Amino acid sequence: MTKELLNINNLQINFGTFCAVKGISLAIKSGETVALVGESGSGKSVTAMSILRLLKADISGNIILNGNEDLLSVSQKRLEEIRGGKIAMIFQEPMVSLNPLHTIGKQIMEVLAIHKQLSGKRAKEKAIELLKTVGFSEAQKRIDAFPHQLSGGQRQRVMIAMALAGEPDLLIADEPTTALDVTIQAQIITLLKDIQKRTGMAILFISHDLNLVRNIASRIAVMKEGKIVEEGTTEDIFKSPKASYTIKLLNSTPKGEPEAFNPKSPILLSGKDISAEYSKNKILNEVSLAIHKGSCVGLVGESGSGKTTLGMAVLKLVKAKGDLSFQDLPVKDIRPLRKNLQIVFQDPYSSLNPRMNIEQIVGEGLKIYEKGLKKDELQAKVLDILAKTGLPKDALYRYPHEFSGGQRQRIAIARALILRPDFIVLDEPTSALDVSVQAQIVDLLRNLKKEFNLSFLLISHDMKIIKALADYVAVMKDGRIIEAGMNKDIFTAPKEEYTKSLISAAF
Amino acid sequence: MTLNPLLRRRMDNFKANKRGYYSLLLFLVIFILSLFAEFIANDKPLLVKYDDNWYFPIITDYPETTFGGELPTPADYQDSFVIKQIEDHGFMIMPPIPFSYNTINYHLDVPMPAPPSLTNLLGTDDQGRDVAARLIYGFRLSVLFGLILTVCSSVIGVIVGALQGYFGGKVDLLTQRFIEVWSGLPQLFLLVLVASVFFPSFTTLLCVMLLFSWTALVGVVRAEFLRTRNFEYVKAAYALGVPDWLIIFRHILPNAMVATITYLPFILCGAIIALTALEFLGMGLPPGSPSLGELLRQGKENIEAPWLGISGFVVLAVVLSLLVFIGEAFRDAFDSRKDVR
Repeated sequence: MTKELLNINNLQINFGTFCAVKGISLAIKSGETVALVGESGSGKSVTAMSILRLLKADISGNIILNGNEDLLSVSQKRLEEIRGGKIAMIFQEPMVSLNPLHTIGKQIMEVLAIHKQLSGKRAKEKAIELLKTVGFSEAQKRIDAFPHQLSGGQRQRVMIAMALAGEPDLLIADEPTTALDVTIQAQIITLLKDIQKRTGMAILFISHDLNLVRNIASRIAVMKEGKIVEEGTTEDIFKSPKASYTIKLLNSTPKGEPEAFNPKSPILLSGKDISAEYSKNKILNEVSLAIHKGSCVGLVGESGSGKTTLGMAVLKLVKAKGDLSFQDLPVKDIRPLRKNLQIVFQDPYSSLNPRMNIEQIVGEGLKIYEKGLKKDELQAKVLDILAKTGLPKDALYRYPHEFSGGQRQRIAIARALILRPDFIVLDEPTSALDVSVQAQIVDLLRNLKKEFNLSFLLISHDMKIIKALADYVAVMKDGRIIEAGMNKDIFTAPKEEYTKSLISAAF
Repeated sequence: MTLNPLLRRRMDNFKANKRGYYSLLLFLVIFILSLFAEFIANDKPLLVKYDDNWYFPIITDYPETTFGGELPTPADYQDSFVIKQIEDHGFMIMPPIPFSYNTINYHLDVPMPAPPSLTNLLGTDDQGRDVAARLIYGFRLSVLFGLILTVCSSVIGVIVGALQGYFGGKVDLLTQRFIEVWSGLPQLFLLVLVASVFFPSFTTLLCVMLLFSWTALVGVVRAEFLRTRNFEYVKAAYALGVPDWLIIFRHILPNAMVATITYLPFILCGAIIALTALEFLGMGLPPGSPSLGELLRQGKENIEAPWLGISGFVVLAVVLSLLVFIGEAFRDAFDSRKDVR
């Protein structure tokens, strides 16, 4: 029986009058991995931050380290020794958690100087060793690299190397893979597992994705609204979840398959040799695509592959070269077609004007295209579309901030749909949403597509959503489509190595 | 309509800055009082009762014959004959300060400028005009001038900045270069030059100063537009086919207004200072107009009469300080990083 490394007892965190964490208790034994899972706003990150007292809030309860020290009451000096030395932390955004003005070597050596009193040559040797541990092949050379010369995955590795430098007993990983591409995510998880095996440190892994932590955690605690609703071994949670919320999370993976569509339906929109540049970097390299009436084309690829730019180029929202044609007619002026070609953006928090109420947001397009519309007619149409997208009637006079992420995405869909378009670009429509909501949006989109005979261009990095919605799948990499085919063919028999790695990372 | 919670929070933030909040209240009280300057400082009585008839000399002019005089000219209520006539046949109520900004007190028994006394609380200037009355009218004129200048230059600045930021590219480039050259011109010298060519009046002075003050807001509004035009809800509106002018007004401008409103008190400050500076140099409004700058000049020329300089300075300092405090509170109110706890 291993001893308990960290004991969180009845932890309560208040921000002013708002109670973010409502008395949770959690124990972490040395050498084990505990996952804290919950949706955004459930208080999981706040809990993690409070362990190292990185928060300015009213905290009560206690957090006992090694059975003798209460982290909430130790002196500032002792706390500085513990931070990095006993407990290290890695964050969600590797892009901003490294100082851009210093080489990565210098940043790792800083930790070594503080916690291991190493300097000069010995520090450098140790830093190179650490970089090798986290999987840098040419550590000797890369030690002088600046953060901007590294990819997101590499930066996260550097963050892990920095965390390891103090040889901590506990590593707190706050959504360490969320900002990374799927194939990189899998690598980071493997790396963390590997390091844990070698060093025997404990990991507190915080994530919103229950399926992700299955591979790494031995125990899971599920958080909701500041409380732990269920805690148990990974096996128990997945085999026999008890709390209804856990069951909901487990069932939230988008399921189902697209309805079979008629491949003989006419081509609605096609683009030939579309190229786009951004300050001399080629983002799109002569991409061609065709979208049939009533079909959904899934565009999958990692960040920077050019998929979003392609979606924007099809709607002429960015400058791009190439020929577009709509219903077999070449597109010269896009303005008259705007009504038929709509878009739903990734982030429903920023795609709705916070100063307008829902009636104004959804009705804005109608006011432009149907000028003679009377006030009550407009309202009737807005209400009709709100009902179709599963929004309550009283939404009309409320403002975007009063809605949850999933509801806001429904509003964005309603805004696009009210003009009765033929074609909608869906730019990562679910990736800003909590997992439990993603499945609902996928179902909604599938139903709407059938009801209105819509065509979609679905842009996503998430293979699960592509599988559930797309008739055709096109895989993009470095501004080109490297593989394309029917949904079934791609998922059962992918040809390209890259496609295979995407699929294996997702399922 | 429910009160927008954003607005609610901003008002709370504004009130949380006590100094700014009370400055605004004080400024509004003084400003509104000064709008009724004619009822506070005037050489005509507020009310006259003469032979059972009521007269309101501030609103209408009455000839001297009304009060038993001989001349058909408007009555001079400082004249001892008129005063005696009225007091024999009824009574009159004078305003708290019985002088207007251009009333010359002929009853002084000391040389002008006269030091503060019971009749002239802050003394008189070198032409025998009551300093307190001139301060009240001067304050009103300065603030009104500043307000009009601020509103006009803001409107122009916001429009130019909006067009630059929204359309970008060549429009932005050319306008930006023009503004850089334009704002490199030495403003005060040019103002002096122009003011000596045109006969200065309220409107010409306003137009001339507007030539230079409109650039103040352009940069801020342009930056805000450059930032906001890439917001997803703006793109969404564009994808809906919403016309450009509607996107500008409905979706982007409200964001830019935050920066604009924050700047307004400071621009008002600048306008008042600029006017005062011109007046001080004697290039301002037509001679005889009540002005703070002219009072300061008199203070400089009559160094043995400190009440001129001191009272002018105090009023100017108080007004400018109040405006800066109000501006600070506005800045707090619109600061999204600042939360009321």
